[in-house]
Amino acid sequence: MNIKIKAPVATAVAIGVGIIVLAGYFIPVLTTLRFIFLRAGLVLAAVALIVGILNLFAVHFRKMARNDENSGYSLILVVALIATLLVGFYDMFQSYMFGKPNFQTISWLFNYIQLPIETSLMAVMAVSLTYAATHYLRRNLNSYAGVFFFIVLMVLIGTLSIFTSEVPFLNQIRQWIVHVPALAGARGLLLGIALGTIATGLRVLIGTDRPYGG
Amino acid sequence: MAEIQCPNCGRTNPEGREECEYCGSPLPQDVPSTGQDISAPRDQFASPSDVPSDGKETGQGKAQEEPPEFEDEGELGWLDVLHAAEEGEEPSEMQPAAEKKEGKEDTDWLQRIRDLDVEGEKSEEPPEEEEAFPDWISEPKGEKEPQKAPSEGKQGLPDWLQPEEEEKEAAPEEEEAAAPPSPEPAQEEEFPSWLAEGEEPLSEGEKTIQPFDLDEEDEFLDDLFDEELPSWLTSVDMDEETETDLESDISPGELPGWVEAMRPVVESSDTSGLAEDEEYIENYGPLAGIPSVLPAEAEIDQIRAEDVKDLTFDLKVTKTQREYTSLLENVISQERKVKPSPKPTKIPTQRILRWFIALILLLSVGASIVAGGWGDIQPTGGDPDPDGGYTALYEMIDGLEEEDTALIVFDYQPALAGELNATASGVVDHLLSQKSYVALVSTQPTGPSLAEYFISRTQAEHEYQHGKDYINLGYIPGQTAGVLSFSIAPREIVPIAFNGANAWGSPPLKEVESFSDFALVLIITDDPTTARIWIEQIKPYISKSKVGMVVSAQAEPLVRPYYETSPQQISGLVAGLPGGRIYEGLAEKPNLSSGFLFPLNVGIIVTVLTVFIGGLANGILNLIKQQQNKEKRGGP
Repeated sequence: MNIKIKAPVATAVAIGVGIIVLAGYFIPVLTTLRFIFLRAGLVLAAVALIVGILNLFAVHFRKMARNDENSGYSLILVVALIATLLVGFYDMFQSYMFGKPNFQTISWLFNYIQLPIETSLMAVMAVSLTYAATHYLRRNLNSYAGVFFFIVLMVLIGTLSIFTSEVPFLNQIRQWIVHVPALAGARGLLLGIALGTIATGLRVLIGTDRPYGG
Repeated sequence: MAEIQCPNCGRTNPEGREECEYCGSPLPQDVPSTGQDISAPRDQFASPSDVPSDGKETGQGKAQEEPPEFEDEGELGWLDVLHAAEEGEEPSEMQPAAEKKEGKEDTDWLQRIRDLDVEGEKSEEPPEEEEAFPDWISEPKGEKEPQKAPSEGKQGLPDWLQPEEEEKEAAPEEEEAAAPPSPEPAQEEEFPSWLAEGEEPLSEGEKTIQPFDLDEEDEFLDDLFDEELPSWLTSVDMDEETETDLESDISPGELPGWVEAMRPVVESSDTSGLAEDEEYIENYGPLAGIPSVLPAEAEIDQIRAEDVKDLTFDLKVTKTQREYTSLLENVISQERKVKPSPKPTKIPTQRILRWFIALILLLSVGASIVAGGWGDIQPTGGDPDPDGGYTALYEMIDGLEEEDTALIVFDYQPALAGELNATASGVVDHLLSQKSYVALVSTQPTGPSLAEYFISRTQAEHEYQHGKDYINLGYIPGQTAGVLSFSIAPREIVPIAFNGANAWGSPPLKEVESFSDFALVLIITDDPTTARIWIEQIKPYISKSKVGMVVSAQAEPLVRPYYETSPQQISGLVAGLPGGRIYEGLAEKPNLSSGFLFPLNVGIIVTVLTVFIGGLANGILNLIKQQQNKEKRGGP
């Protein structure tokens, strides 16, 4: 007889833990239990990160083994991952065993490889956005496009510090855009997020939504 | 192969069967197959579907191919067949016509009734037929039902004649006296005496009085009632006056309303269709032989669109209805056509323009850095906005005492390190100037490295040492749950520092037992969601401490509501490079924000000009193209 107990057990665990953590805010007796669950959650999250790294490694290792078209990129990723891991273990050993300064080697990798690459990508994005803004009216030439184009220019000009001291209304326009329509939209978004979070929490608590499967 | 046709359903059965294999009716064994229907039903509803695919004809289909010829007196019907069978004759077509005539004389009157009946049905005014016949004559309409034939076969008489015979048996003396001698005893048995009388004395060539001749109905009735009615009734000479009086005295019969309502009414002037329906006889199945049965399969199912297309209907449709019909027809016809999806118009990527924009930005920003980008530029609006959060954060940090511990959260991506490092440098510099202890933490894996980079690069002048002046607590996993857990019990969640040392035994955290022992929580982030998580989770655990934020310009709109709300969720806020520059102005100590502000302004100016000129040019090109397209289409 094939009895599927995974789904009911997972649902029961999720609902039970959720109710205890929620009740911990209101019932002092449950505070300790709530904290135990939270700590367990942290361990699980850390393990999930390790599992994610292992999965990434496995996927790209398979791609590399198949000798696909883009297997060269997989090779670079696998080599970089292994190298960073080895460097990290070495730094950890040096720091924990001999009290050396904080992760010198791994900091060097971060400061001179990862940070410049990511910052450069952001700079390229700035150029791409500028090009897209110039190209926008080529594709759409209507009133909405015109409003969008005008607001982009006004906010950019309002951010300037050079001319706005001489031409105060430019800064005022920018301040009005940021503090009135943008702020109103942000408040609406935050309220929506809050309501959505409550609804999602309730759905998980009553078992309607089961993101863990089952 | 000889076949026997069923007198009931008309289907052919193999020779030797006693009962019809279709309807179960007994089959006449002596009747040879003639290939003609005895009671051929009308098959107006016969369709091609009735013919099986193997080519065998159903009875219905066969009847359709060979319609019965009622006009031919040699094929009168079931009565003749039965009669012939009784006499041992075979009414085949090979028999001489004279023999046939002798044998069918007895049933001439029935044939006449049938002919009249058929004529009456074909006529346009059926009610006249009802008036022409008395009820007892019009009743035998049911005789057409072939089902009754076998039951009557023995005597060869319909039911309505049977009581007469019974009466004859009951009074044999009277019958013998009334019946004249006949050369054919069989005929005497079949017909009543009064019917035989009328035929016997007449010689050949004389006008024969037919018993049910419509044209001589009056004479027939006289003959009929002569023997039975009293003389006073038959001898009365009705003059015209008496006739008129009688007609005036007799009022026409009136039916009750509910009977009138139930009477079938033919509204259409064209009764041909109704007549066909009434004469339809079911050919097979449990209802075989029953007339006026609605066909089980709707005839409309057999209609195909191709057949109907050529038909014309005399429908009175308005112009609008005709338009709607044509519209529907167009829609249906368009459904079958596969339309090729329009290919999106390819717009050239303007690779040169892209390279041009990148070159201009690089050159302008680089030149501004090299040629005096470190010059001091006053922030936007001159004086700091008192409601902007800069002053509040400044006062908050300025109020810290020596050896107070502040918690700094580094929760931003390395990609935005350029902006946020510059923005936060002045704030952290002010904080370290207060000789406060600092603890660093992050909920992102790259956060601890960013924190180390920030302290070592931007705050190098303070010569803060790890474990002595500050402590890096590293990475907290679990996002929301991690922040909450850290707020509840920081010592248990992060027991060791980034380098594995005992974090809580070091001078920065020696006095910290709980989260509220941090004098200040400064969150540096580029993500509004991360800012929201920190604000929501730590709020219940910061009774004594205050919260300040340094965010990127893109996150400002979503974070600012937490500062501007009442009560405030955060006590101070610095957003973007201009905000950092304002803070540095408040601290009167220029830092990275002041240096980056000029290149930032140059970059913004170049960007605005590029977007404006490029956008305008592309807009004009688009407008020209639209105009050209309109002219190609021939529009105004």
